[in-house]
Amino acid sequence: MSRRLPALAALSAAALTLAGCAALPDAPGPLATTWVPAASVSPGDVPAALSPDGFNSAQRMTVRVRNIGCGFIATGTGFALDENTLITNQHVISDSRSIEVSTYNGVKYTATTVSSTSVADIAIVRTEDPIGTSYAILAQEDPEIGDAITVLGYPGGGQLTSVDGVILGTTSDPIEASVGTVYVSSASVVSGSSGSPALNEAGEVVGVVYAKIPDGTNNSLIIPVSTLRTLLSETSLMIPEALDCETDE
Amino acid sequence: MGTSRSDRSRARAKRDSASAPALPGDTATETLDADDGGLAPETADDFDAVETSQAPTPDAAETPDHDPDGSPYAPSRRHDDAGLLAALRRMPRERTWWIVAVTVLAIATTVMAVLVYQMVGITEEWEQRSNEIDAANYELGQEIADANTTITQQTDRITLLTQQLDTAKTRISELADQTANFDDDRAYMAQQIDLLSGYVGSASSVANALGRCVDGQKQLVEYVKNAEDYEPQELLDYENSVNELCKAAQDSNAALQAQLSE
Repeated sequence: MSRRLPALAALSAAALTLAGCAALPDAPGPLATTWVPAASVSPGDVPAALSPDGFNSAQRMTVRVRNIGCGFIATGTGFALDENTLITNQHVISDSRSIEVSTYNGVKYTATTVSSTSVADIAIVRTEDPIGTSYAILAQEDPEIGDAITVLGYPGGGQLTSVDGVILGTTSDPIEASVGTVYVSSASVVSGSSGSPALNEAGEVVGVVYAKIPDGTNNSLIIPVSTLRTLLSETSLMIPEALDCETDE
Repeated sequence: MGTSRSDRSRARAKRDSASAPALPGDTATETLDADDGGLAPETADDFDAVETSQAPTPDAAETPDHDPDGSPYAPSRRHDDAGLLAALRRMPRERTWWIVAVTVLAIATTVMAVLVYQMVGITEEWEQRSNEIDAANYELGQEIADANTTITQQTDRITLLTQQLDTAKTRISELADQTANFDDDRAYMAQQIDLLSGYVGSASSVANALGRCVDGQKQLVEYVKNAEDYEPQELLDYENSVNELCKAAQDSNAALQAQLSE
């Protein structure tokens, strides 16, 4: 036993040496050239870039409608569905000789054709020149009772304003301007707000304001987006309006 | 060292033979038992240690148990030869162990030296890397400090620009509203001008009609002054036509007055 001790010691030393070889750390690799990770976003990706002038998409798609009628001037509100198509109320553009729209920043456009329907207080206004850069996104579903909405418009033909409210319920049209059910919201509106888009919290259009309840509360009546979608898909329901006083007479 | 172990065996065998004389056949057995310190009894070293210790002993040569013809000396010489062979065999084996051990240790020492040399090099490289990283950290720290300063300045600037933007937005809305109202007024004025133009045209027509009425009445007066020159029926017809003309003019004038009074 004792005479094998040197060999065992030597083998142990060899094993330790080999273990030392295995445990020998590597030399450091090349030093990193940069320590700063790439940015996760770049200019243009953030929502603020969508509003270069400080006005949001809803404000930029909402237009002021001027009805130069046969012996009168009336104003209302509308919103851009695409670069040449606007949605407003039929009573805003009725008895018109000319329709003009102006955007949030005062740029003015003249309508070329106007069409309306007797099914609902909805009118479609088309322009030759493209309008703005922001357009409405129609919601897929009608609002639910209790949903929060925002109404943008030009009440009284004044400045562009927004008012918040909630959907209070549904009712049949008290002024018989629309067929079917309409919504009642707590968003207070006045003359000139007709044709205003009612937006949900996602910024989607859930309805079109067309009247107020004459009970002192100024609660708004809203045509649901489903009706608007139906009218947009059924073009036969839309009848062109003649922009001529002599024809009307 | 192996030799001293063999010496110890011989001394032990000598001690045994002196204290307890035994038969030649028993000697090996007892010696094996006494020497059983863990080594195998069959090894040639042990046999050799026992026999060689007995051979030079004078008492053993004179032991009556031995064959008088000197036969005990014969096994002694045989055992000496075997021990020598065993020693010769043992020495290279032990030396081999030592050679292997020394060789392995030498190699291990060499490898260790190389490892130490490499570790020193690697340590120096890591030390250099540590210094580089320290420098980079200080540089990054300076950049962070500069960035924080820039962020603070930019935040102040953003706050100011936000206020300016809000002011500009308000002003844009006011101007847009003023423009829209101006356009409303312009459209209204245009309508009023159109209306007034209509009034002017109507007034002109009324004036013309009234003028023709007056002219007709003057002409009728002339005809009446010279009534003998005309047929009574012709005068009557002319009078009726003047009256119709004047009535139409009066109606137009009344309508104009009504419009102007609205």
